[in-house]
Amino acid sequence: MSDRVMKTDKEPDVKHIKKVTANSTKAAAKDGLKSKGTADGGVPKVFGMPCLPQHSD
Amino acid sequence: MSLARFDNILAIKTESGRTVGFHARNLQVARLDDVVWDALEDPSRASEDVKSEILQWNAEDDKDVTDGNVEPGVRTLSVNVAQVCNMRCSYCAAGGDGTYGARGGKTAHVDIEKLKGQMKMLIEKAPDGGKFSINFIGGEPLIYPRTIRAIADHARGLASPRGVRLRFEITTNATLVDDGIAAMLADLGAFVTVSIDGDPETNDLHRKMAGGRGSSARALRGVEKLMAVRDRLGALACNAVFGEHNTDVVAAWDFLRRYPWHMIYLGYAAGPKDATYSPLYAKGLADVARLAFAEGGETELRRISQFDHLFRILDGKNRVHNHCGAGKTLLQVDTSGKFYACNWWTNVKSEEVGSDLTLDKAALDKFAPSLIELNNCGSCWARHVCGGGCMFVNRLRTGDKHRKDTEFCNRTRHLIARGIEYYERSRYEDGQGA
Repeated sequence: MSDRVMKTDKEPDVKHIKKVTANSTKAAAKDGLKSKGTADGGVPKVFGMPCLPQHSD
Repeated sequence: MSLARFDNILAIKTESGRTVGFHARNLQVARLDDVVWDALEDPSRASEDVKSEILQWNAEDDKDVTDGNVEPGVRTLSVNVAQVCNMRCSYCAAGGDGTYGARGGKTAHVDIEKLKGQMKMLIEKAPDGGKFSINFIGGEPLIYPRTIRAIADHARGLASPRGVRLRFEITTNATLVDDGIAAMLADLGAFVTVSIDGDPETNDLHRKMAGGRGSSARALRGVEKLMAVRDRLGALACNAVFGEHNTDVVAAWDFLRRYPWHMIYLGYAAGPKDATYSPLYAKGLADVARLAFAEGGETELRRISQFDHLFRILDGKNRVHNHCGAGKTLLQVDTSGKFYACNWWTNVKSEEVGSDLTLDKAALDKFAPSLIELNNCGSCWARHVCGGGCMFVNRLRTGDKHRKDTEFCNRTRHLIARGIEYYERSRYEDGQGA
């Protein structure tokens, strides 16, 4: 879809996009693991790697 | 599952007919009305109202989203305790016998005196009160349990005066774990990952002892010993590997989930026939996600590492810029004291980034930019979840560590899209849809 086709100045009247709310409590409260984090610091733990896994940091 | 895209917005039409939206820059997830899907598929059919709402969301800049850029400095040292193994797994990425191709036994055991100097060099650079991880791998690291203990004790001596918090991780086949080793790992508060591919029949096909017998009976005895100290470990996880040798992810999960692992890793070993096997793995893992979510919702789904990781990123609103810390915050040291950015590059001369007490600054500087940048991810919608992909896979599959592997990208995007679908269900059904 191009920007040109999508261009409009009209303000939306009805919400067709209903955002869900991130749950920061659940981000921190993973059962069983003592801390949390992302992949940026160490060994990856995401999709499709042949890598040694790393527990959440 | 079908996908439609407009700039920052990805729309996912799920098999159940729902449409889920994902804002690639803001890491926001939304439930979309069908008219939004229709508009993205064919803008000429879209009302001004819908177009306006899509454009507004697309342009939004969420101030709550943070960037997971790494801070300079090595925070993880991965140590090849042994470059020898008591097993001969068919898909082993360490030369088939843990030696990384350097057979002959000269480098079977880590040079502990060199390593002590290297630990001093790196831990001294960690900030007071900061964190530092030591990952024990191999080969099979538990061939030398006393070495692990000695390394850990030495590291503690370096770290404790400055309040540096140490963490020990180990990846093991568990076949050598007895009561004493389990107690030692518990004493270290180690984060333990057991490599095991599922039920004994399947596991024994590809994970054999050096003598040729299946490893399952010994591995499962070791697992029982580890389970007995589970609550004293940092965490206890298992790691099953799939690829050309095995794509039955559902069967493996169905066996492994019977144990109370803190986390189940279901990974993929890239290979020359990925065009055939990678999609089968991705489908298998997606099937596992469906079954896990149906059985136990978010909790059961998040026992699987990939989906837990995704949920953390979305809940934490943290854009990932690096698939891993290789060459930035993570270094690998082999048994002879050579440094590499990635453990799988052991014995790859062109990938050495130092040795003994010398780090090659020029070589490491090449790893400094984000992997999204180095691996040319452009505007890929998954870039801030994936973090740029795996340099080892790229090198293996394309010959260039920064040239993307199509199969890696395809399975990554497929599984992230699946995960987003479950995230939306979990959070929306929490009653938090806005």
